[in-house]
Amino acid sequence: MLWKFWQNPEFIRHRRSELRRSRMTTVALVVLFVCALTILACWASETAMRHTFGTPVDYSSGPSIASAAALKSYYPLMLMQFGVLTFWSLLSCTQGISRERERNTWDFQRTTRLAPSELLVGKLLGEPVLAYFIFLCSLPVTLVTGIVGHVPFLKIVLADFVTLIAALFIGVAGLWVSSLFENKSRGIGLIAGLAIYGMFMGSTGLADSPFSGLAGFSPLTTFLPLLGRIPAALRPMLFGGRVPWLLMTVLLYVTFGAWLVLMLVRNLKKDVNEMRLLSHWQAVGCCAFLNFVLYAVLDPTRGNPFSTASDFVSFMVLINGIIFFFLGVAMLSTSERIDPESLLSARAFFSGNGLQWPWLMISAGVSYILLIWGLYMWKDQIGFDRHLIGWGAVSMLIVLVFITRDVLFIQWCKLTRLRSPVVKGVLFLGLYYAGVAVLYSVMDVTSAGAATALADALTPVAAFTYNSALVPTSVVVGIVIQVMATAFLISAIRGRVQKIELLPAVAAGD
Amino acid sequence: MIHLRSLRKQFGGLVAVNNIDLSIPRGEIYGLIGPNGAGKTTTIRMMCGLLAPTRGQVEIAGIDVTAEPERAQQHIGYLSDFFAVYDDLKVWEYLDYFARAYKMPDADVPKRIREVISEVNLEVKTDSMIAGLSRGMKQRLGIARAIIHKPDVLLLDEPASGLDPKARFELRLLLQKMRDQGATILISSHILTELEGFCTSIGIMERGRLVRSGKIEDVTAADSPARAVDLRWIGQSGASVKQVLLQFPEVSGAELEAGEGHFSFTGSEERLSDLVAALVSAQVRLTSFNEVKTTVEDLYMRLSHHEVM
Repeated sequence: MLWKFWQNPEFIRHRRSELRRSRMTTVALVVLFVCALTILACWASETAMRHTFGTPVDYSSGPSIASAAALKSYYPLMLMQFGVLTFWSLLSCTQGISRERERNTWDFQRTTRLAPSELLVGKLLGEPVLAYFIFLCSLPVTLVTGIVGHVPFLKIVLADFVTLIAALFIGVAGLWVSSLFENKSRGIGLIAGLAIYGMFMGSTGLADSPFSGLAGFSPLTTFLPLLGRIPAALRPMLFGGRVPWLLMTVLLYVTFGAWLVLMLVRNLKKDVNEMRLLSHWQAVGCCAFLNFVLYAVLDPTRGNPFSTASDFVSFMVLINGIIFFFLGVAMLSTSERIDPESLLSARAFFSGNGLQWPWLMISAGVSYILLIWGLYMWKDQIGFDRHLIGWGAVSMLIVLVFITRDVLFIQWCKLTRLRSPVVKGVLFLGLYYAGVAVLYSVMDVTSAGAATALADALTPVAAFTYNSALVPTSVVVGIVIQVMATAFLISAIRGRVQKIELLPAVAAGD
Repeated sequence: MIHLRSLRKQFGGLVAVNNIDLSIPRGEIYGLIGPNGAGKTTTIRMMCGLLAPTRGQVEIAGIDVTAEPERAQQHIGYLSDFFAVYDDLKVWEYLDYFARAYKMPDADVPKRIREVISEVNLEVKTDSMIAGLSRGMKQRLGIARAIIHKPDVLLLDEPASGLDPKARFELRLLLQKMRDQGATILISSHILTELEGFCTSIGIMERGRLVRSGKIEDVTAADSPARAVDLRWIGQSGASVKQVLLQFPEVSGAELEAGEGHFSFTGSEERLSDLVAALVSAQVRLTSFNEVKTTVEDLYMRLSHHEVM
């Protein structure tokens, strides 16, 4: 049932509303007209090129005019096909769920027996169904122009394949974004979707970086060389061996797509306020996966931004800090999910309804093990020193302590009556760090040492400024302060949960 | 058929539904009454599996809704107060979508669509685009959607809003027919006249709590044990009629003027009959003697006055 998408009720609904006979005829005619115009324009351009001031140029040794014009029109047609399908998928899927919430139709879909996976497939293929129809209409034209233009058939097929998988991946990402936003913040969701689209396409710029494989996220990295317009970048590295870009793109889309699908299937039929993107164990798995991917695609021979192994450690710790933060946010709980017991009893720390901090610790442990493994595997290129084992642990600990504090602060915000608590929590944290930065610059005027000590104590900057496990006292003091702040936040969360438990009945909005 | 046990829902620091216990047997039409913000919609959304309870349990047709929402939802038809339909579909396409989404056998779908379209009187619009339907018609289509999969339990949140009087009457008939076929119906409203004479049981919600629940007669009787009686007569003065009435200790609060008045009576049917006989013996020429039933509206206003305002 799941794979027979043409029988999926959600897909059928979209097909019926978007592809009525009259609209299909109009769209097909418009597409064919645009294709014809493009081909004619290219033919005219080619013909003009072969005549200089009205005198025919001898092209007898080159391709025929039909072949050259077909090849010339093949590129814009393929690009148009690619642009329409990927961009339309993004726009429609980014609004797929939030628009249903806005129309008050989402609840009815949630009360049907459609499984989340069925809803997902129906929306993924149904929301941009008109774009797929446009793609189908233009496909014979691009095939013919490609064949007449002597483009290898396999390249044409692979270019279409890349277009399709890119549209599917972007669609899944769009639905994921859409599921996070309530109807009132649909516009923000759309902006987020556009930002993600820009990031996907722009990731092609990573092709010359040490993580060149991540350029495979951009379908352009694979698609444009298949058209023959630009030479393919040097093949990316995967586990130390060179692999084709197409394989890299497929691997990235399948693995990252699987995580997005997991988050969607877990939450699609839940109320937006009750969503928790990942379970605790899944978050640990996700952290390990993201680290694993980074080490798998690492190619220290390119770009070489790491002058020393310490630089590499600092970079990986920074990346892990970002990962911890997002995983912590993905594990945020509602008040009813938090088990007050888990805040008190050591045994219950790791319960499914506990707070995030034990799981962030496990994630940090996994990240640290992978860091040491990565350093060891690439020791010839990056260099390896025993002191990095200690320094890696200390810098990871510093980042973990600060991120745990920040995540618990956002968790506390979520238990209050703040509207958009996550956004406000992040803004408050931004204010805190901005305040510390200003204080640092003020103190730096009189005493650079005191300013550094302040930064060490109140921000995780020490994780990137030293390269020895023997850190100054200010760093230790900073860790102690943050651990105390974390304990205070846990206590505040506990108080909040217990207060809610004891609240008398008061009128709440229906 | 419907069992709510210690049901509670919190939104941050707000308790929207507070420890509700409720059992509605099969074939009942249960009216859930309460002002805006009383927690009716939250309760219904938890019953549908749309919201997870903070605590407590919802059981529909013997299935725990929180544990097995999709299985429970097969037994539930739901219509929310503010809802929309897909304007770019035809009427039959809309119902076909939901019939298939509820996993009805393909062979049964066309017949069932014809049945529900007939039940909500939309036959002439079967092949029309939904965008062209009036608000009342869309409401009827929403009801058709809620019953397309023959649910055992219907949860309707303000279903009659937007319906004209004729359509409201037809909705009543449709729901009574479904009740006769064994369906259990919970209907929420703050328009009390909409529910009276239609529901078999009622519950009154205030500030997240169910302050009264039961058969309409039981609820009203429990709240006002004294019966209010109106009477009219010709001839005698109010004072002489009052003298007859006060011979009965069950009578209180008699307010009688020339030719008409009312009093409260706490006695049995027999004693009330004796009172009529006494009035007739005293040659009071009665033209009217009738008991004034306590309406749901009276009860609701009384409760609201004491507990909410």
